[in-house]
Amino acid sequence: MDRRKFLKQSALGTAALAVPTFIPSSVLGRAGFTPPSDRINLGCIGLGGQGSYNMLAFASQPDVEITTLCDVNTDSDDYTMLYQFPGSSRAGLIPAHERLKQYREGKGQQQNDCRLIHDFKELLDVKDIDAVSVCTPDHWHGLISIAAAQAGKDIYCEKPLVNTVAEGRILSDAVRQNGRILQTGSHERSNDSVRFAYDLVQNGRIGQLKQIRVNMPNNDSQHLSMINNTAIQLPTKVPAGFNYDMWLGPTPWVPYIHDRTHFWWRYISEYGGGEMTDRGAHIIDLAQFINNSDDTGPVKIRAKGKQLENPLYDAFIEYDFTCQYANGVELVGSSDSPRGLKLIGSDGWIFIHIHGGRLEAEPQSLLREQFGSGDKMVERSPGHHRNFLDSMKLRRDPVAHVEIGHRTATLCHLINIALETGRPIEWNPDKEQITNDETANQMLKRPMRSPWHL
Amino acid sequence: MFRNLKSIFKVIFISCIFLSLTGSATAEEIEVTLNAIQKTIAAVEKYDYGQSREDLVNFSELVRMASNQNKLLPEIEDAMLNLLESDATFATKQFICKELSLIGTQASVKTLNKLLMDEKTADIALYALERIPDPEVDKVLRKAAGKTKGRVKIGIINTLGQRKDFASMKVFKKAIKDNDPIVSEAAIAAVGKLGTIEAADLLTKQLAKASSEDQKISIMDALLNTANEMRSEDEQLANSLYQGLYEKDKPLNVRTAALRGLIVTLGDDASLMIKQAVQEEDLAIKSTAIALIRELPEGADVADVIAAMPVLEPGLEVQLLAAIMDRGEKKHADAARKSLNSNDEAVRIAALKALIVLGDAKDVTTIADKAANTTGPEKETAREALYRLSGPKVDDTILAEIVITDVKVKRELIRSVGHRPIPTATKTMLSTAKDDDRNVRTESLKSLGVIAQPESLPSLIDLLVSAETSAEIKEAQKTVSLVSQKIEDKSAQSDAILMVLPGLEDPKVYGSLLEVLGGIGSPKSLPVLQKSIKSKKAEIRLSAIRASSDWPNGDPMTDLLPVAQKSKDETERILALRGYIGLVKKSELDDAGKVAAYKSAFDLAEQINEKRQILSGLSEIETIASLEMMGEQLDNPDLKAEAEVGIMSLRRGLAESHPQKLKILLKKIVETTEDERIRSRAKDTLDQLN
Repeated sequence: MDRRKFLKQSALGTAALAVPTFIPSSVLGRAGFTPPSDRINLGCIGLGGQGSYNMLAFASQPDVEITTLCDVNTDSDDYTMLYQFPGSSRAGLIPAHERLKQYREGKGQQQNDCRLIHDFKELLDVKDIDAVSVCTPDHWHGLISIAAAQAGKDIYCEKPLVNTVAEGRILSDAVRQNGRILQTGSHERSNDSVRFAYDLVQNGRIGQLKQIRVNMPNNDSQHLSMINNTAIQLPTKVPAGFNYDMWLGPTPWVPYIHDRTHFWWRYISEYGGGEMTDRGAHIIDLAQFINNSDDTGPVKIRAKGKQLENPLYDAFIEYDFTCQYANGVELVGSSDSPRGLKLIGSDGWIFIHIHGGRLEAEPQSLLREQFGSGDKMVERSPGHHRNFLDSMKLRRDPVAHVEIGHRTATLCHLINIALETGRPIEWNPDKEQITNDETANQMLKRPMRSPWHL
Repeated sequence: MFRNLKSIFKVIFISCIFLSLTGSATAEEIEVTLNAIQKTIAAVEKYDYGQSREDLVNFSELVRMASNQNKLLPEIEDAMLNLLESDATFATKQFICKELSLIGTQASVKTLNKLLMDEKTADIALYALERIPDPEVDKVLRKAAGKTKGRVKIGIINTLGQRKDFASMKVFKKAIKDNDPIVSEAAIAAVGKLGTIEAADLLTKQLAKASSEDQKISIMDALLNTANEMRSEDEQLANSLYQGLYEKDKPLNVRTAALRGLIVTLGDDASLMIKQAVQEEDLAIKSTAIALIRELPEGADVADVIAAMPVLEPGLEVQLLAAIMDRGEKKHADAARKSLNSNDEAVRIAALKALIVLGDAKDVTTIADKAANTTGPEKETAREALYRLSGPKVDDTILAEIVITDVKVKRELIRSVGHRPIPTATKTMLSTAKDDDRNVRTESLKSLGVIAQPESLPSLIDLLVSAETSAEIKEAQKTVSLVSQKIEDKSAQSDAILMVLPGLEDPKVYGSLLEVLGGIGSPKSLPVLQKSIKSKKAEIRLSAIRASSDWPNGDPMTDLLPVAQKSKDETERILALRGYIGLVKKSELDDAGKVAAYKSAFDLAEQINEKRQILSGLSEIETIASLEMMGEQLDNPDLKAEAEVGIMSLRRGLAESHPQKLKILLKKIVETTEDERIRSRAKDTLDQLN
């Protein structure tokens, strides 16, 4: 077609459409006081342990109203709650709603109506929802968050932000294009101690940053349970109230086996990337942050490791890897303890423990350092959830914005790809391509089961 | 035999990885044989869900090795295809398709096409086909799209879109008209991935005649994708698409997305676009336009954009200030200065935050005034701004203002001297530390603690000696202590104080300096403390006890214990005991010695707080004796909670050496605790111990 002709024809004319429009209800919010009319209406998608925890974290904010809950699981009583709500075995839509009601009762809050739905698409169609909390298994993060961005919702999405590099690129672009705010759930970034460590490094207190060593052990009780879960488990009937086909979503169909779902999916490569993307999305994320690599990544990655061979789980549980950044800094990782990262400079080191951000340093006096007006200091975060809400009001990037989440997830996935292929990777972070291995390059994206697509 | 083969594979595999990491060997040294291929393939044939995946892992390793060596891959592919043609289980075929997605070639297309035609296996075939780079795949998929329907057809179209198959336009055009709305939606999305003029033309025409709202949304999303794809090749064309999507009859979320597209493609005209957008009535468009100020190119006339702003709602003004701050261009500081006078507190706070980045010495007075005369978050933000304001003359301006301004503002400025810090301000601070206003004196002492150097110690001790109130004495004490500790030679840190002590008569001042000596902990001053702990003056004895308690190691333990045991004064006994307990942890005693010391203290303790302090100390000593001591308190309702926490802290360290004792105590905790979290953890540990 003639280009000039096309330009003339391209004026588009359609009637006004009834789609979700986002005028932040908080646009007129006042610091310190938020009238009821300025509340942020939030929908929560995915209500397992972490999803329910996030729901309550948002419910505790004075300017948030949880209006809608969404999960493919109505009510399970066979869930292994580990990090959050230990001792409880219930998860899903109904238990989450009960937790919310109990929380509101305990705080003397009004018991407003809360919609309970199973399909995230239905939630995204609700016009008065300003933002969504996405806390599904990892294989759903990308698709739901992209759809949320297109529907005009702001997004708090758990880490790792995406399950493939290709999803991450599209999500980051969609969030930017649609003027949305996205906070990745890598909440360690919001710790004051982490930001203090960042300031120490940036202001030369450990000299020149040379190497970052990350430790990501697989020796917690859940790892041991998973590793020892070697019994043959035959497929069983899908429990009533659980939309298993929706749970599988874009991943290949496989029959229902209990220990594939709930908490344990993270150790199966279709749904998660093992510890590499689980806690790696915290620890490697901080390495990216402190090396000022938030919008880029290393250029070379080498890895070796051991993958599980048991009937369900195929995550790598032992690994050693080395990533070389263009600025000369080396990221060296292993499955050793203790969990955290060591920032090694020419004049000292700092170790950040995960979780919680406790610091150790050599010399110890580093921990008593003070910064003055001549130093550069990174902005502090009032808490990860709060930072997201404040960013919504200011329409400004939060501390773990979408590109950060994407680049961290990318690095986690690249290390997993290097482990899986057994070959070193040369990575072009600008073009986001593996330049030395076409097979590995194909692994940056993952075919999706019909009808889902990116 | 097979197990041996697997072992060999593993050895080879590990060697292979190691060698590739070290780069010291060539892949040709490793062999993948036909025999190995046949045996490994045979092993996976009967795999089904839920069974051991060991054979699958071995197969993946073989493929990996072959890929690394680029050897026998056609043979492996052939064997895999035979398996797909066989009556192997669905689970096996699914696994093989995943492997083929990584090494498959044109040779796989025919077999995969057969699977594609069967609804049950279509998904697994597409999994492989989508990643195989051969153009033959596209041909087969195009053909298959015409022969299939429903979910299979949708999958094929999605895959063609994902592969950006430009030759599929005909297929997509037809599919857009499909009666199945999901097929139609898939085709629209696939066209949106192509990023060509033809795609833009097709979508534009489709939008004009779209019947359903859902379809219109899909088409507009696809058009946005098309514009994004075209941006690097043909910015003008992309811009025209954005223009169309920005028209007022389009949904807001489409308009906001298009607005961003326009801003990033308009170059020099982007500022004008923002100026127009902020005039719109819609808050969301205004908000988006303001946020996009951040994306205007460097050198854009942002001042002109700011000047053109209509009267903004406070929420939007806050957003504007945040956007200007994020650009970091000091030339726009006036916008923030203007907003400092807003009637809205949120706006004033945002303006103060912006001035941290954009402001300079001119803003010192205004910000200090805000810090002095406002309250709550605004006051805190103003203080933060004063601490972090940057610029060559900011420090000088602060010091100059201190001399001339009123008391309230002066206090804030003096505070900032310590927080910034301003090292050249010692002389000024020594002067203001004698100000008529008590608060000014106190703030000056605080700042001196940060900025003063050891050569000022005599002046600081003078300030302490002449301090008027207890609070000032305490503050001066802290200052002297902080500055003393800046002396590099630790043994000399107490010299200045030891020199003036003998001449002091006021027991309050004498005691205060003793407490400074305690914090410094120089061995030279320990005899002074030992002597003072026996002083006839109660005030000096109490200060000596406090000083000994602060000592950085366990040396004064032997001085404190007798006081805790024998003093007739209850306050002295309690303070000495607390000090003693605190020093146990700092002492160089071995674990047994520390437990014994805690036991002595426990026997002396009359109050529950000291006992709690002891249990806390015991929880850090991994010995059976400390465990037993805490176990004894599980029946004590006042100490039960601390004992439980302490036992939980010790459980990992003592699990191997004292499992039986630990089990008894954990069982008791599980049965009696009121803390659900502790019960759950205790139960987990018990399960592991059993």
